[in-house]
Amino acid sequence: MSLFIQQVLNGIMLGSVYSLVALGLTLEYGILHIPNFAHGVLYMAGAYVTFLLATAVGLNFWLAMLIAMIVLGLIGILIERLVYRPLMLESHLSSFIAAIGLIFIFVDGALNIFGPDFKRFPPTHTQAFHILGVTITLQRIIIIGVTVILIVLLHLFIKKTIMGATIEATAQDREGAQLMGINVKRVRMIVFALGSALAAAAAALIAPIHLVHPGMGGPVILKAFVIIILGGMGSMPGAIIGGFIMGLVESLSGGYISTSYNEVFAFGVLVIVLTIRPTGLFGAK
Amino acid sequence: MAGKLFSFKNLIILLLLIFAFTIPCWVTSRFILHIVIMCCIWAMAATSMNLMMGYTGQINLAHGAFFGIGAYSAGLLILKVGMNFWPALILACIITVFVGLIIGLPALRTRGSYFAIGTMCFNVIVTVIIDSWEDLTEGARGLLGIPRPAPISLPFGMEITFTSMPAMYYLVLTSLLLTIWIIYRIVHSMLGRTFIAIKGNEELSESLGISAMRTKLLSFLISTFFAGWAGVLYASYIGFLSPEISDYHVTFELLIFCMIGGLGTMVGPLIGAIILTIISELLHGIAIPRMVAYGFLLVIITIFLPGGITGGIKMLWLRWNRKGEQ
Amino acid sequence: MNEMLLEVKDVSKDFGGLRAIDHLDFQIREGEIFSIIGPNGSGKTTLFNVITGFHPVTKGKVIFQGEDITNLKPFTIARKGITRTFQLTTVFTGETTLDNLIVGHRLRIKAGLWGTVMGSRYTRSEEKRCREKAEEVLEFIGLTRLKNVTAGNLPQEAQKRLSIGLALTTDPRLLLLDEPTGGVNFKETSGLISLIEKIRDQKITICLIEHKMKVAMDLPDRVLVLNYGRKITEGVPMDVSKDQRVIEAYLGKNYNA
Repeated sequence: MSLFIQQVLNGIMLGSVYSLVALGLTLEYGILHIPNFAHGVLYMAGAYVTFLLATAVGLNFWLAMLIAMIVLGLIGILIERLVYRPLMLESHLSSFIAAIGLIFIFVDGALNIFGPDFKRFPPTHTQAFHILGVTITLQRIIIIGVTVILIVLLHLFIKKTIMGATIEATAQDREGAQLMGINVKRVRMIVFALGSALAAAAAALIAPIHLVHPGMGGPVILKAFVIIILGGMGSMPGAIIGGFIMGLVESLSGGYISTSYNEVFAFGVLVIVLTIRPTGLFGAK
Repeated sequence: MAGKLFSFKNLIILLLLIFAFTIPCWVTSRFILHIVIMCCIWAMAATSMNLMMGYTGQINLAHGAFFGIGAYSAGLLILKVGMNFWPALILACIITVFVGLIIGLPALRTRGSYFAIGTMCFNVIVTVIIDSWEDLTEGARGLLGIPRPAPISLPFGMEITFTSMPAMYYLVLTSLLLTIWIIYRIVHSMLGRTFIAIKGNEELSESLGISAMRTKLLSFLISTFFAGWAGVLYASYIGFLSPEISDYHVTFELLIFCMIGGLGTMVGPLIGAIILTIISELLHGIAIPRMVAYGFLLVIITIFLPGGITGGIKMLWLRWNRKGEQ
Repeated sequence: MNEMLLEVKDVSKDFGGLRAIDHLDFQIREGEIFSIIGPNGSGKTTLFNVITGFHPVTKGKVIFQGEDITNLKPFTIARKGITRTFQLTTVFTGETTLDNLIVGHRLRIKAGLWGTVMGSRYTRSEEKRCREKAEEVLEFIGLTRLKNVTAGNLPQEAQKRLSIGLALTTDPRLLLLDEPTGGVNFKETSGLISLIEKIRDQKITICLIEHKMKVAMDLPDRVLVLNYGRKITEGVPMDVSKDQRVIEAYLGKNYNA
């Protein structure tokens, strides 16, 4: 039984990370109408920036995470401006391929700068708590807590601020928004900054627990895609719920079935769902 | 004027063929011959990928997986079942197409971005399976010792053996030429027009009586067939397989070959595969991060030269012609 | 009395909570020109989509030449003899005019893989048939001098002709034209009307959606009027134009004719 609770808590923690990544991805899709394939490298870059700040500069965890979010936000704006904006009117294939190019640049850049080895984050928030017969470290609680806070903040931002309403309007109807005088270019920029910052936050939160390495974005981004396809591309609640479900499925199946197959399991679920509903569980069109 | 143009093109092709067939005569370096063989194998894989992506317009990101399935099928049939290379080649291709059918039927119910992501997921699944199913595939340890193709007996007690590199080269070259010939014929036929119609506008095609699903599936299966064949050649030439050859990195590299060469042309994937394979093999020792360079190249080409090298040449050709008219 | 070619029987179509077509009943007779008119949003294009299988019906049946074709896939319906054009002119913009037309006849041939690769005589003769059909239709729609122009560069009226030509290459028995004269000027409209009459003379039944009164009322043999997805009335143009309900539908209840 305690194994079960341990796996559930683990699943919620993983789910938090996935939710944040999927949220960023789904926000970007809502504006671009194309999935940002390169989202995974933003995640990975966020982890490395946090790592650098914490080790080389010696900042404390919270400051490092905050600065990483800002840095990644800026990188996200650059990517939108330099890569996705010129391809706005081209076919989806062009944006995909450009994103693949970005992946190569970031991943192999990281490989060359930092090396292929798995970097270990300095021990952070390692105090352990014993609840319900299971042991849980402070960092894991922080992950879940910060995720909840970020989700709430994001929700408030989208629903309660004018910029948030602008983003929603642009996501629904780009041309209509332009006719209303909305500066679509600025909206795209802000959404990308947000999405990248969320990915950086997710990476920073999990960095002390998992290891940092150049390929870490890959599995995460694939799962994020599975999540937003199942939850509906562009749907924020879908990303959040889907993220937690994915985390739980992975944790539980990893605990009870073998870990190497748990990715296959997740993709298998995706394939089955897409076969039945080719536009995702909550997707329209 | 038109007659001259016609035979000019054929003359070029003839010269290229002569060039290709005589390479082993004047290339003595094993290293260079190795590069040439790899160019041909990748060119085969890229050309087949181009059928689905460039001509039918569907972003299939599982292509590397089929290359790997072809390679592993042949490797396992030869090493573990004791089959002769030649029937193993045929059976491996059939297996690849069969897996293609299993993957294609559900995947092709989706479109655009969903299809791309779905096929990429399949690619990952295939790599994970090959990696984890150690009892069958030896997993990360790799499949070692795949022999070269068995000798073919000829009349008068003679034999064609494939232990030498030139012999392998001719086998690979012949396969490449067959691939090009078959895909060329398909693309320049009514069937090819059907593929191009789907790429142009799926809804319009449906209203004209073309079944989008069947057309896409056919294109998919044909492209997997040749991917598998290329994989078999790889297995027998290199002699060693690891799960990485079915990896999504392979898919992405093939994608880059097509993009840089020029999507939707016959010549594009060939140019892309040849140039990039040569560059990457030559730069192997040098510290320049190859993939980072690829990445920049890809982004720049996508934004500034979407037709790839072929597209760029066409544009120059048009501009040259226009100048001539002035 | 001509034979009944298409029968729409008590068809309803819902999109979520919205009823786009409401218990619609009508017939199209062989050889006639039939037009469907009605205010914007009255369900005309949805009706075309339902007949040609682009949307499934919520209720009811569509019967063509005595056969139930309800909910069949669009490509199957095209093969059975119903082809449609789209409101937003749809052609293969990247191909030349002639290449556009060649692929239109594809549904009537086999284009098998083996024959294609081996270059069998059968396959080659099939390809020849498609080309010949394309040239024939090219001539028919009057675009012969534009045959090598990329379709995306054609002027609007030529594109309209091409989209109609595309539909013609499929050898349809029933041609559904969705606003065939949309976005063209007065003179071009007359040209398109002549084309439509020429098509009728080829014994092809035509059903068109139209907004321009001249085309919608002068050209057809019979007219169907829709409003809010429901049939207001159906009959010869003369009667329909005098029908009070039709006037109300377009101009509102307070209009006194």
